[in-house]
Amino acid sequence: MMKRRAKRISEWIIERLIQVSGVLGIILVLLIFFFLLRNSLPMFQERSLSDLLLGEKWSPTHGDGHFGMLPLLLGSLYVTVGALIIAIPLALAVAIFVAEIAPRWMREFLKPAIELIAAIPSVVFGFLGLLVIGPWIAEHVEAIRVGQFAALGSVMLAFMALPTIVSICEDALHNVPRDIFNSSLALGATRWQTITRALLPAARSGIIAGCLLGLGRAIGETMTVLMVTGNAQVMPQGLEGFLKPIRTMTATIAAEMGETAVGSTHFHALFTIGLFLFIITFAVNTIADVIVRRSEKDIA
Amino acid sequence: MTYTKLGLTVMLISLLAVATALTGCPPQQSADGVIVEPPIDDAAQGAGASGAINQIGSTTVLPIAEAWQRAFTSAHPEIKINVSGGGSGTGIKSLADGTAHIANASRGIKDQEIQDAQARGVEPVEHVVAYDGIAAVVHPSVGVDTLSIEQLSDIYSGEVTNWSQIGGADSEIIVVSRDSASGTYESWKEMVIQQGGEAEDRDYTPAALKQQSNEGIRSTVAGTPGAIGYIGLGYINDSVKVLSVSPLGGGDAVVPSVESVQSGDYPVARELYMYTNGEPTGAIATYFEWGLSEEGQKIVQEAGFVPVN
Amino acid sequence: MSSERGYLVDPRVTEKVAFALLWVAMVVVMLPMAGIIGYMLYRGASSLNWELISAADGGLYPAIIGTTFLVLLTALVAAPIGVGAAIYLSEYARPGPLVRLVRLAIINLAGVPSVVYGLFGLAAFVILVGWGRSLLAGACTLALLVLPLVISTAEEALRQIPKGLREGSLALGASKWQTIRRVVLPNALPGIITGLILSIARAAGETAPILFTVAYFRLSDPIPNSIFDPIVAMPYQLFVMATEMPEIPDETKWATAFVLVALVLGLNIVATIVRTTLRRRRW
Repeated sequence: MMKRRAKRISEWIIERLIQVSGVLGIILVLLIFFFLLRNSLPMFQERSLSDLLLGEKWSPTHGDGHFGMLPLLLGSLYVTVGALIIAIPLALAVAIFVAEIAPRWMREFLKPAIELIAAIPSVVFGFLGLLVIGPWIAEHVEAIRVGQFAALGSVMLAFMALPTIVSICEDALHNVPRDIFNSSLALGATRWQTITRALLPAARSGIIAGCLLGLGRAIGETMTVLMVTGNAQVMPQGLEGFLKPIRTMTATIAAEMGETAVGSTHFHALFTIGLFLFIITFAVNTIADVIVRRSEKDIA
Repeated sequence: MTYTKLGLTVMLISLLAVATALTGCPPQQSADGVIVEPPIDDAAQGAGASGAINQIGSTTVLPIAEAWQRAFTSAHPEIKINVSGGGSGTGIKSLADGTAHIANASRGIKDQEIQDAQARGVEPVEHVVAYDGIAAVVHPSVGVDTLSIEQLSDIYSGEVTNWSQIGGADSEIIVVSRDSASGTYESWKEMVIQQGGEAEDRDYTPAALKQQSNEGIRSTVAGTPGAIGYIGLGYINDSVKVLSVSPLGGGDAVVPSVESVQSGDYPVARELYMYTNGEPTGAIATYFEWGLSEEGQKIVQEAGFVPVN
Repeated sequence: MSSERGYLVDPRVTEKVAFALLWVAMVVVMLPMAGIIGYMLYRGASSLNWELISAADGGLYPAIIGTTFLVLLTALVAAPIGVGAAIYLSEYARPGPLVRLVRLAIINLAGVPSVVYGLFGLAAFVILVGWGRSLLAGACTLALLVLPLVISTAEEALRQIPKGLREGSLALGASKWQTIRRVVLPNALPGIITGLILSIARAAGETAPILFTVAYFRLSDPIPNSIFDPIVAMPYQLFVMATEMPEIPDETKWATAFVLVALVLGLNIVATIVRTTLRRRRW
């Protein structure tokens, strides 16, 4: 009797523990948000939100400190948009290729190969960009004087975000009911017409979600951009800005946190950047998730 | 269920590994069978759980700390020293929270940092371990050999953007700097940028390319025609051209060297620090005594810095 | 004929061109990747020698040891929580707003930038809890980072177990937890292990979260004596050597990059093999 009772109690405890770890995800998200907020609040007491977001000068140790984050926001925007402009068409092409065109053996090989690209640590991409690719470009391309610039970061991020976009787009294409494909072919359309007129529209939301997740990945990437973009906190000017050094939000945190005093305004400023990053990625991921759910519902 | 077996083995191995880590390494058995306790003696008081001295901080001081660690621990194998970079701020932060016993810094400790440390019962004590001259270097193809502090200030604040404005060929100046908030970044700002021009609060041009280290600056300058940067004396090599600098208000240009820094003639020089919690005792005292001795200071010079005596 | 149908160009020609372009895109993606990885493997493998790997001073040995301890501790922290969460989601939770919220949270955890995890680790584990820069602080930070991966792979593994197996066990009088422990978990274990291997690979390669929480560069004694000791981690060593340290020979840098990539890709390949073998198994 006793034994059975002890067992029942231990089972009860285990099941409660499982429930706790189940909702732990929610608690963790809240905790991260809370810690970022707690450490950035002192910043908001010193500067207004508009000073922070629209200020054009980031020079945290100069005088009282200049904490204008606009150059950093724009820096992240440049690098990310550049990366998506490169990554999305390529990723879509690869996804269509893998899902619809590649022979079976090739598909079996390509899917894991693309996943492996995603596994390469970002510090390795940064290392290659800094030691090999950047200097090579600076030597061979007239317009580029220094081998550390925004577009190089974009290219590297494009390759790093590519696997994310490809795998979600490929899933989306795969999930489109085969009936749609077959009936289009039966009506005399070519495979390409079927892909562009029937398959892509049907997989639309999945593709958009994939691109959004790629965006989230690119905007949060740290080590690569820190190592290859030159980190000059300038306001990027027009298209030429892509060929100039630039500084992103993530790189700023990684580069400066080591030098700040705990509790200084600068310390809180870096947490504020972290808070903004968190909010941006949270929004992007949530929107992507909502779109995915809706598309799943549509198909079902 | 071979998978289950495999899985269990993996789990078991990782469990064992971590259990070892948690309980600490077992005392080592020496050759004659006597159990040797890990080297925690009174001398190492204040050192970490493993009896090691943790030293964290400025990347500028890193080469000195690293060279000292090698030489010192080969002479005193009973004392363990861990060395890491991370920046002056990280070092002082770690001294305050007790994870580091020595904080390396290329700038003086700030009031805020002293307060933080004191609030945690840590009393930072400053030790000057070396002097460092900061040299202005340019790509070898730049035709300029000498610049004044004022001209350097103009370049770094963005007033002057082309070498032709200061007697060179018509070519854009690529300004290379350390990352904002590093000790070297601030030293250069105080000793050079804020010395020139009308405005008291002159600052770096935002367009300056940022590098994480002296080596980063050197290799970028060496690989970029028209580039100018600044690096510690110890990092000078043939890949870049070193400029002579004339002091504020005119005077002869001085080539940065150990002698010119020690004599005070070279205008851009500073002290490098290590901070301890209170006056050092035990192993840490031994370490500093050795570091500031002739032997330790010889290593400072070999690492390219300027000895304090 | 094509113009009769309103096409400027025969659709079959368009299709040929489009498919050719897709092939080109494929090559544009795969070729530089293969080239870069190939170059790195070449440089790395030619720099690699036993002396460089085993040297405690200026070699890879401390980083290999440090990364091993770091990822094992990470897995140890992440595994029970992650598997617990997966069991909750697949065995206990009923569809509803709470589950919806849990899933949204997990998706967002997966999307939080790694440097933000670093900030959190610094504020929570290093400063607030007071662990300082230590193995434990770094492992906990990395554990949070890999948690979504552990949960999603474990949940997938659990869901692949057919319902009949559970029902059979319940019908024989086993309690729900007994069923999970004796029937469901053992059968899902290979899938869970796959997820853990992937998480270890991820943790081994991350740099930003350990920048402020654990990493050291040079240690007298690279084997940690306790979880409060610092360690050298491979990606951090690569970062420091590439950006901060002078006079380190290129061979050491390439060798470090090579070993890091080999480790991470090797773990991924192992995981992929385990997973594909599993898929072949039929219930």
